[in-house]
Amino acid sequence: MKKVQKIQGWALFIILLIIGLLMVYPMIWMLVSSVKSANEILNQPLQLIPRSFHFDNFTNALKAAPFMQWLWNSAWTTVVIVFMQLFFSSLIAYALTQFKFMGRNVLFAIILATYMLPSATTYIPSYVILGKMHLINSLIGLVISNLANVFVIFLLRQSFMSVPKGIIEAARSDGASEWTILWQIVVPMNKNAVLNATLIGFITNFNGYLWPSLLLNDTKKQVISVGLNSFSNTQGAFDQTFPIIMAGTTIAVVPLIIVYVILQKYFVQSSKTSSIKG
Amino acid sequence: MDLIELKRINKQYENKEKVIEDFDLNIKKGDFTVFLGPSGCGKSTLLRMIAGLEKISAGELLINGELQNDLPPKERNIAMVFQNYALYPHMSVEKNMGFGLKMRGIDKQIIKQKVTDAAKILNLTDYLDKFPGNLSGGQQQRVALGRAIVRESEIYLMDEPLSNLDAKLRAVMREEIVTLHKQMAATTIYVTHDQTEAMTMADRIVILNHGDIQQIGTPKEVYQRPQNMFVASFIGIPPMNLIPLKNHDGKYYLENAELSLKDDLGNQPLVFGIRPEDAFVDNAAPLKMKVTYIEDMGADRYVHGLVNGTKFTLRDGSNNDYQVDQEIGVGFTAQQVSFFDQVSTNRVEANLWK
Repeated sequence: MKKVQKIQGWALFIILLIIGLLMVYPMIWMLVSSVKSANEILNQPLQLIPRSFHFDNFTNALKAAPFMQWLWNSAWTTVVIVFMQLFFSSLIAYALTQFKFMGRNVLFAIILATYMLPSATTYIPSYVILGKMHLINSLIGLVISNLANVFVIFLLRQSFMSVPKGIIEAARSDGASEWTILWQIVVPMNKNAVLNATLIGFITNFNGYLWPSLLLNDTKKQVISVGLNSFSNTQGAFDQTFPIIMAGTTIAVVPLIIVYVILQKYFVQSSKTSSIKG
Repeated sequence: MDLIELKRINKQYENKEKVIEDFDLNIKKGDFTVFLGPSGCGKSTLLRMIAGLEKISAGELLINGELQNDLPPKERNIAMVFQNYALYPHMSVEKNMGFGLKMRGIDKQIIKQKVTDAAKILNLTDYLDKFPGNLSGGQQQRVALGRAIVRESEIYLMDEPLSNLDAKLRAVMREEIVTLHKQMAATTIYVTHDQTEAMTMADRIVILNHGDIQQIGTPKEVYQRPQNMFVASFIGIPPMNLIPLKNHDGKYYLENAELSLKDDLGNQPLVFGIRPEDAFVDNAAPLKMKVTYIEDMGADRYVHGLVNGTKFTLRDGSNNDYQVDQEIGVGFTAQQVSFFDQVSTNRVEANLWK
C-alpha cells in the first residue's frame, strides 16, 4: 500500500515538473536569449546554455530606447493606481458590508453589472471624458481613468463579509469611529484579500497594454508594455536585434518578478484563523 | 436618582412585531443586575439598546439623568463584554485590552500601566504578547473581561459571557466576575439564560419573557416567592411542581385531599405550587404519586413521578429504595406552599392552616 502511494507521489511530481517546465520555458528562453549573441539565438540546433555571455545587450537596449523612463512611468502609475483602487474599494466594501441603507443591494448589483461590460466598450466614453478634462496623452489621465476597479470592490466586499458582527460592535463600544474600524480592524483582518488585490492589481496595471496605447502618444510618456512593443516594431531586422529586444523584455519583467516573490506567499494563502467562537 | 433609567422603551424591527413594548426599569448605581429569560425574550436586545448598538424605537434611556437615545456607543461611558469574546484577531492581548483606551486618546504610558494592572488581576501577565487565536476559551474570555475593565467605565454590560465555556470553567469565572464587580464597585448588567449564573451572581434578577418583566427581585425572592407561574417553572432545577386545585362548594382539593386555607378566596380557581425540596415521601399522606424515574445527583436524589397524570418531582433525603410504578405518598411543608390564579397565572397570597 505504502509503496503504491510512493510511486503515485513520484509520478505526480514528474508530471507537475514537466508542466511547470513547459510554463516557465518561455521565460527561461527570454533570460538566456538576452545574453546570447544574435547568431547564437537562431543557431540550429537550439542551445539553452549560451556559449558566450553578452551582457552588453542590456546597455545597448538601454541606449536604444528610454527603457528606464518607461519603467518609471509604469511603476509610479501602477503604484498610485493600486493604492487608490484599494483605498476607494475598501471604503465602498465597508459601506456595502457594515452599513444598512436603502438600495444597498441594488447598488451592489449595479457595480457588479458594470463588471459584465467588456472593457473595450468603455474606451471610447473614457477617452471622450478624459479629452474634455484635457488629460489625453497624460499619465495623470491614465491614473484617473483607473481609480475604480469593480473586481477589487467585489473581492474586498466578499472578504469583509466574513468579519464577525461582534468584532465591529466591540470596536464601536470601545469607542472607535467607523473610519478607525475600517483601517485598524477590518483591513488588517482581511490582510490576505488586500494583498491579493494588490498583487493582481499590480500585475494587471503593469502589464496593461491596450488602454495606455490608445491614451498615450509621446515616446517619453509611454508605459513599459507599450514602449516595449513599439521598440521591437521599430528595430527592423529581427535576426540582428533579437538579443536587444530580449534584454529589454527582461528589464520590463524584473519588477513584476520582484513584486511576485514578495507577495506570493499571501497569494497562495487563503484561509486564516479568527478569534471568534460559536 | 438611579444611574440607569429605562422609560417606556420599545423595540420594533422594520415591519415586524414589537420585540419589547413599554419597558420600564431603574437600575441603581453599584448593583449587579441580571436579565434572565429564555432565548428570544428580548434580554440581549435590551442590553444592546443600552450599549447603543441597537436603536431604541420609542421611549427614553437615561444614564445619570441624561438622555442617551441618540448617542453613539463611543459617547456612552459603557464597556461591554460579548458572548463570542469578539477579540481583534490581529492584535496581541495587550493591544486588544488597550484598544478602547487608545481610541479615547489616553497616553501610551498610562494605557500600558492600566493593561498591566488588569492583566495581573486576570492572571494574563504571561499572555500579553500572545494573539487571541493562541489562547484557550477561558483565557480569551479573560481578555474580553480585561478589555472591559481597563476602561474603568461606570457601567459594564455582559452578554452571556460564559456560555461558550465548559461547566467547570464557568463556575470559576462566575466567582471571578463577582469578585471583579465588587472590587470595581461598578454597575453591571449581565444577560444570561442560565439561572445558576443569575442565582449565584445577581444582586437583583430581572426575569423576562416575550419582552415583558415577569418579576424583579433578589435571587431569594424570585426563588421563594415567584410572582407568577412562568417564574415558578423557569427558576429552580428541577422547577416548582404545579398542580391545579379542584374547587367544590368553596373548598379546595389537592386531588382527594382537602386543603384548608386561612384566607377566603371565594371560588377563585387556583394552582398549587411546591418546590421539590419542600416535598417529601410520607406514605401516610393522602396525596399519591406513581414513581416514573429516579435521578441520583450524588448530593441529592430526585424522585420523579405522576400525580394523577401531572408531573411531580420531590427531593428525597432518605436511603429508601423506590421502584418504578411504585405508589408513594407525598407530604409537604405547609409554610413553603405557593398559590397561583389558574387564569391570570399570577401569584395569589394565601396560606394553609397546617
